[in-house]
Amino acid sequence: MRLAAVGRLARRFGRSPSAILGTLLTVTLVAVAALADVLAPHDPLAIVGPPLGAPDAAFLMGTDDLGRDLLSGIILGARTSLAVAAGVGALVLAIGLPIGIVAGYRGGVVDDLLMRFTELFQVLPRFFLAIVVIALFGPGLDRLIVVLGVTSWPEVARIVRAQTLSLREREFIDAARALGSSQPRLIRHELLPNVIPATAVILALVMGQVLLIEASLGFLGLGDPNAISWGYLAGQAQRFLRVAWWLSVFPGVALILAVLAFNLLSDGLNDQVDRRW
Amino acid sequence: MSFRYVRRRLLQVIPSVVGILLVGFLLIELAPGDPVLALAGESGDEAFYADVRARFGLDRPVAERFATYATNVLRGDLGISYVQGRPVVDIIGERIWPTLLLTGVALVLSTVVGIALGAFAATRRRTATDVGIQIATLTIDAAPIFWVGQLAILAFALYLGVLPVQGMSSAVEPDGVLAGILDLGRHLLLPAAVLAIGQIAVVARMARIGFIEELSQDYVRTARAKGLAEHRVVLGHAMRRAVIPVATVIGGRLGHLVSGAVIVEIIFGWPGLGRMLVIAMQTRDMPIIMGMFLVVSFSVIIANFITDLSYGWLDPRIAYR
Repeated sequence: MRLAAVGRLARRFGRSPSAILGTLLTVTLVAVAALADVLAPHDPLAIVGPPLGAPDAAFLMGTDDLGRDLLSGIILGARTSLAVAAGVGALVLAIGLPIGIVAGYRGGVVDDLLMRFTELFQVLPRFFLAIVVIALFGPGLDRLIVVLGVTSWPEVARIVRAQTLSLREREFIDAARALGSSQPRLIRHELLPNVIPATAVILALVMGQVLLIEASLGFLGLGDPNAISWGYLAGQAQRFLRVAWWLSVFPGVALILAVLAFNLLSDGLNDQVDRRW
Repeated sequence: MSFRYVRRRLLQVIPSVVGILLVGFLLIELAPGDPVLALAGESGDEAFYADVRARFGLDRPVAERFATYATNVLRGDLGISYVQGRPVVDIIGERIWPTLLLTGVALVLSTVVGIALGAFAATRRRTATDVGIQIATLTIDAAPIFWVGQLAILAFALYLGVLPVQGMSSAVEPDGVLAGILDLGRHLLLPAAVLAIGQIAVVARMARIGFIEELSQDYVRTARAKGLAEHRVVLGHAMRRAVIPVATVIGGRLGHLVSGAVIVEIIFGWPGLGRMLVIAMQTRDMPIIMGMFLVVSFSVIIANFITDLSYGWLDPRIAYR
C-alpha cells in the first residue's frame, strides 16, 4: 500500500461518523487508563466519604457501602479492562494472523488441516472455559488473558485466510512473484499490508467481546482480586440495588462506552474495507 | 438432503468432540497440585491415596488416562460432586430444566423479534427509522447483560412494581395448573427478556444485512413485477434466504445465551445451572464446573450440527455433496 493510498483511506475514515466517534472514545479510554493515577480524585480502596452516599459535588458518582469513591474505582477500572483487551488482542493477532496467512497462501492439505484446527477452537465456549481455568489455576489477569486469547483467534484466522485466498490470485502478487520476490518478502510486503484492514475490523469486534466477558467474570467475583474492575464493581452493587442505584448504573455505562468504542471503530473500518453495505 | 451428507457431517463432529475432551483432560492434568488431593480431599492417609490413585487410574500412562477419561465422559459419567457426593450428571439433570426454559424462551424471542426488526429496518433503509434501529442495536450490543438486568429490576420491579424480581414461582402456591403456569410466566418474563435483548440486537443486525441483500435480487424484482404486495415479497420470498446468516450462528448464539443465563440466574435468583455453577465455584466443586463446561461444549456442537442440516430446508439451492 502506497502512502497516497494510506492518506486516501485516512481521509475517507475521517468522514465516517462511527469512525470518528469510535476513535474519540478509544483515545479517551486509553488516556483515562494511562493517566488513571493522576485523574482519580481518591484512592479507590480508601474510605473517604459517607457509606452509600448518592452522587453529589464531592463524589460525582457517589460512594459504596464502605464510603469509597466510585468515580476513582471506575477510572482505575479502565486500566484493567484495557489491559485485558490489549493482551488478548495481541495474542489473537499472534496466533490468528500466521495461521490465516499460511492456510490461505498454501491451500490444499495444509489449509484443510489448519481450518479443522481453527473450527476446533471455535466451538470452545470461552466463558465456561475461562471459569474452568480460574477454578483450576486460581483467578488472575495473566491466565485470563491467556485463556481468552487462545480461544478468541479463530475469527481473525478465518478472515485473514479468506483475504489471502483472494489476494493470492491478484496481479500485483503475480508481478511481485515475477520480479523474483522471495516468499517471506512477498508475504511481509505485499500480502500483510493488504490483509491488515479486514483483520482490524474483526480484531476490534473481538476486543469488544473480550471486555464484556472479562466484566461478566468480574461480576461473578471471578476476576483478579488485586485489580479493581468494572465487572467487580457492578457485582458488588447487586446487594445494594434497592438503595444505591448509582453503584449499578455507572460501571455499566463505562463498560458500554468502552465496548462501543471498539465496535464503532470496527464499523468505521468496515465501511472502508467493504462498501457493499 | 442425502443420507451421505448427514453421515459426512456427522463424521466432522468427531474431531470437535475429541478436541473438547482433550482440552478438558489437559487442563486437569496441567492444574497445579496433586489430582489425588483434589479427588480425595486432604485428610486421607497414604494407603487411602494409593487406593484412590489406582481406582481413578492415576498411576497409568497419559494416553491410557485420557482413554479412560474420554470413555467415562462419553458414557455420561462426569464424576461425583465433592460437596454433594452424588453424580454430577444427576445434579446437572435436575438443574437443567429452569435453564433450558429460560434460554429456550430467550432463543425464540430473540430470533423472532430480531428478524422482524431487521426486516423492518431493511425495508426502510437509510431512513431515520433505519438509522435509529442501527444505533439502538449497536448500543444494546455493547451493554453488559448484568447492567441490563439490574436496570430492568430497578425499572420494572422496584419502581413500577409490576413484575416479580426473584425466583421462579411465588411463595404462595398458586391455585391450579393454569394459575401455576401464569405465575411461572410472570416470573419468566423479565429474565427471559433481559437474556434475549442482546441477541435481539445481534440477530436484527444480521437479518437487516440479509434482507437488504435479498431484496436486491432478481427473484424479488420478479415477485414485485407480478404485483405481489410488498409484505408478501418480504415475508414470503426474501425471508427464507435472508435468515440464513441468522441460522448459521445459532450454535454460537446458544453459547452466548447459556453464558448470559449464568449472569441472569444470579441477578434474578433463577434456580438453574448458572446458580449451580456459581455455588460450585464458591465451594471449589471441580467436577461440577468441569461437567458444566463439557455439557455446554457438546450442546454447541449439537446445535451447530442441526443448523447445518437446516440449510437445505432454508435454501434448496444449496447442494449437498
